[in-house]
Amino acid sequence: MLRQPLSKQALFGLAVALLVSLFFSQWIASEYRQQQFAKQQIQQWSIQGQVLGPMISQHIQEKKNLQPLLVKWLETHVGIQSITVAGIKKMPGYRSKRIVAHTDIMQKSGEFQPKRYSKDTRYLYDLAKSVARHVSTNRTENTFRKAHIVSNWEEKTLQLAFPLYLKNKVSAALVLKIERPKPPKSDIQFLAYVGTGLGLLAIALLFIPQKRRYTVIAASSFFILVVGLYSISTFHRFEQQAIDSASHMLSLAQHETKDRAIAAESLLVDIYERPLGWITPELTLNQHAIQDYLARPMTQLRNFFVLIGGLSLLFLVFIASGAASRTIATLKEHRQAYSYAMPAIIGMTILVFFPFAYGIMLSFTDTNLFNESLPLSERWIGFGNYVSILGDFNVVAADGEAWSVNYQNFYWTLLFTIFWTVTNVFFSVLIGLILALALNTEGLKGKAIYRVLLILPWAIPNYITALIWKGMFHQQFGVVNQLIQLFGGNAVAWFDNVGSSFMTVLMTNVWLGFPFMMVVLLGGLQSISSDMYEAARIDGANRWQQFRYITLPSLKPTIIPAVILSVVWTFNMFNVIYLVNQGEPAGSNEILLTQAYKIGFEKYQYAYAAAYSVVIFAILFIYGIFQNKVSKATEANA
Amino acid sequence: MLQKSFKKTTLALSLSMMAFSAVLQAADDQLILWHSYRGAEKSSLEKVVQQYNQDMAGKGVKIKPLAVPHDAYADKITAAVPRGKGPDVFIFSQDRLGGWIESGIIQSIDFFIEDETLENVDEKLVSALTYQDTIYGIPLNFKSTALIYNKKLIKTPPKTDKELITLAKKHTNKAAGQFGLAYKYNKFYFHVPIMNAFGGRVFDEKSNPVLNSKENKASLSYMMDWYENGQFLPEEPSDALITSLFNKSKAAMVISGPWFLGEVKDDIDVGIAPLPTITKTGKPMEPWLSVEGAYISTKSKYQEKAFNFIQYLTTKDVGLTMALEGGQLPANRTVYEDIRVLNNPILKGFYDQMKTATPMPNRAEMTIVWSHTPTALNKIVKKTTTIDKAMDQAQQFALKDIQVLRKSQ
Repeated sequence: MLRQPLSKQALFGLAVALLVSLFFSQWIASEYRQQQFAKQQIQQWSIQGQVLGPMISQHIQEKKNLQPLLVKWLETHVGIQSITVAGIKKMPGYRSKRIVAHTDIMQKSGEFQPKRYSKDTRYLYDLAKSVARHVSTNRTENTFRKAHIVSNWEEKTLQLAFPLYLKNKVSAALVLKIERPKPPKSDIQFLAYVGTGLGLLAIALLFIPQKRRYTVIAASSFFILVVGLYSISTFHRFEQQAIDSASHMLSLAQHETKDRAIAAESLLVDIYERPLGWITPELTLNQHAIQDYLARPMTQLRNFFVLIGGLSLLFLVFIASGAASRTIATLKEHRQAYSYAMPAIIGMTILVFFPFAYGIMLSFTDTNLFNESLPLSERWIGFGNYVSILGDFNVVAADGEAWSVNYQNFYWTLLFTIFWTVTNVFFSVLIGLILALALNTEGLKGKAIYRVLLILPWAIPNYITALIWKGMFHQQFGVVNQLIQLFGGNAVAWFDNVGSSFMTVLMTNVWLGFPFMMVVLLGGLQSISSDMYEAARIDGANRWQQFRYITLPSLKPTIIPAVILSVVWTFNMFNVIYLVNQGEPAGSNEILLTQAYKIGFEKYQYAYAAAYSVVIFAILFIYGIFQNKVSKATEANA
Repeated sequence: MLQKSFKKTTLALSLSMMAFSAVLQAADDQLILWHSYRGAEKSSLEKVVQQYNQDMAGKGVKIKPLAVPHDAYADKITAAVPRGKGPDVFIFSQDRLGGWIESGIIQSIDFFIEDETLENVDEKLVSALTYQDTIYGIPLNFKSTALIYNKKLIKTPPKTDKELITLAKKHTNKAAGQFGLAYKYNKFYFHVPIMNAFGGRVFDEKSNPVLNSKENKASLSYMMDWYENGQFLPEEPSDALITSLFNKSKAAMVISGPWFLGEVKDDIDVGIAPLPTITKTGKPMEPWLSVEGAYISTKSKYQEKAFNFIQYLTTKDVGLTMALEGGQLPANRTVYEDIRVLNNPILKGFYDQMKTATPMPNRAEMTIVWSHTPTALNKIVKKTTTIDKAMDQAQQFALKDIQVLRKSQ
């Protein structure tokens, strides 16, 4: 009787894991294949652009009629619907934006007199303009960050725009309108793998001792075997597709160069018009270059497969080991409780976990303002950001004799943040405790008024307080310096060196922080029974001893949670740093959070800032675990 | 009988015509316009929009203005437009232009622009809204700093830096907290006029940063000469400080922009003049010009209609309303031929300053310049390091950050 549910669970687990992992792998693999296919299409048609483009430019320069050339090209090349020479004119003189020539496959004639653009042909102008803009951007910046060959995938057509160089400047574009190529069919081979896997396991289960441990191991190993086979075959076909396409391009290039004095290897270019190097001068395929080109997507694909496979394997073990059925049983039993918590769970998922997951994903890319629009796969860099944040130990830079601290370094900022947190919390607790003790004095008159006054710093929005303090530290007119001068001192330039600048933010934040501590501690003090003090007095304890042995230990359960909270707040106290000293001088007073903000919103390095934030999260997470233990300890003591 | 039925038919026809036109009316394309104006600026813009809606009544277009708070404006545009939730047309100054273009938020309007579209607008203002040889917006208004002075203290504004220094020294009495000139010389934006007078700049033709060029350094040492030897500038100048000094007649001259005037007390007689010429280079101090443009969102479904509207915003009548009622400085130069505008010393003063001003770079990389120059300027003013070292370091940091952004694919 026991055999049945065991093998059933293992089989079910395997089926789910196989379906899930193969479905997602198949999906991602087909996304990659589509992406590669689109690239290959552009590369194939670029061959024509590379041949026809210079010919058109020459015709224009020699003021020859474009008609014979374009018509002949249309006749000899299958698949092109129209060829347009889309003109643009540079500023100044915005007039005379004209299409230079246009041909249509339906008419085989077309118009070869320049004519104005209309509403319907605006897209041609936009294409031509973007080509020209991209070329000039790359040239000025001396980079390749914008595509020279711009593609526009429409429902039925693919439009490709190539720059036309006249005297080395782009003043028009060649736009080919092509019938949209059919993407490769995504085969459903994964079902075959699922079937094979299940069949194999079903047979194997007959021979395996029906202990849970063994069934789980058997199911897992079949899973790994099947997924492994699937991955290998996918990689193989991926590579095959690239080589097929490359050899197709080779024959295309050879065809185009047959009667012309052009080198075939120069015709295969990427979207930046850089030679791909896939063809050797001997007109054979350069397998190495193709493999290099494929290395990046292949590695990414492999990582995805490993990730999906790993997660599915966990899933399998989860089901096969019987943990899944136990979980479901619990969910059923407490379904009322879960349904109550549902709105919160959904809210948290949308508002917290999605952005959080997105942030983590972003941190593994090199996304910045300029490459945001690229597909994720081209921005993926793995742990690069983390390596450059955590692996940079150049905290101290030696410049000849002089030593200087590199304030932009992560470890400096981290140390500073810790120092900032510790000092702040220490002084807040100290001042809060003193004031709480004072307010707790029996028979103190006007206690209510004092309490309200002392809570005020907390009640005022902290950015207002921060800006007021900033004004108070002004060198010439600030009240702090005027006080110093009143007593015969010299005015201090508060924001000029690391220490004094730190003093300004410390004072501001302690000012903001002590009322909270005071309120919490006052509550704690009032809950201490006066009997204990009475008993202590009878035993002859002095004031200090009473404080040391009664007040402090009794306050411990109050202080520790307050300190824990306050540490997290202070660690991430953005407003005070950002508003009071702005991290000056030279970024030395920056805390981790303000630094991440600057990286993200001043330097536009979004991914780097995301990685920074993940590191901050990790630090606070570790702290959270630590504080959990501490608070448990206090609970035990209390 | 026949007549009766004819009447009926006409009635039915006219009724159905009315119903049809009502349907047409209801089908007005509504264009959302975002701006961040308040007070008089807001009401003058709304008036202009209302006028447009009246003129276009029955032509299927309706503009709906929406004021968005200035602090949240840029973030809202960045977040809303890519998701198709943003406005069709929006108004903002050019400093965020580069970033928005790079992230595909602003539609190029090159296609719509004809020679005559911008013939009444200074080329300089158009170039402020031009990015990579492409026009992205229509200039509406501009702002720049100029010399703002207290007419009671300064009879004739200085034409050259020598006159400026003499006047400034005359009105300085440090013991009494009186200063001849107050401006935020430790902020890069306010140092720019001197930098430009020395032929300095932030980006070269290749759009690489050139913060440590010898012109920039020379301009900084000139500024330090004012600060150290002139002794007519207050320490650690801030907005609040400069405003309070000027309002107490304790600062005779101030370098600031139109936004400063809102803070000035009514009993102060304010004069505005172009910044003086630096004798050493023979060039005037050229402040940076911020141009407020009207842009079309790439996600707008009514781009052509949107263009017609923003084109309307540059007409003379609109400019006059914005200048006389909103107190703004319209980009249309024919506005300044109007006698009412010419008689307004504030409008006239800032318009004169515009002639020598230079548009502020609209590249996205400007934020990197903004993030590294404060440290350098602070160090220079506090003399914790030399001008050479401070600027070389700022240049080195800026170059590194920019190269990270612009890596090749």
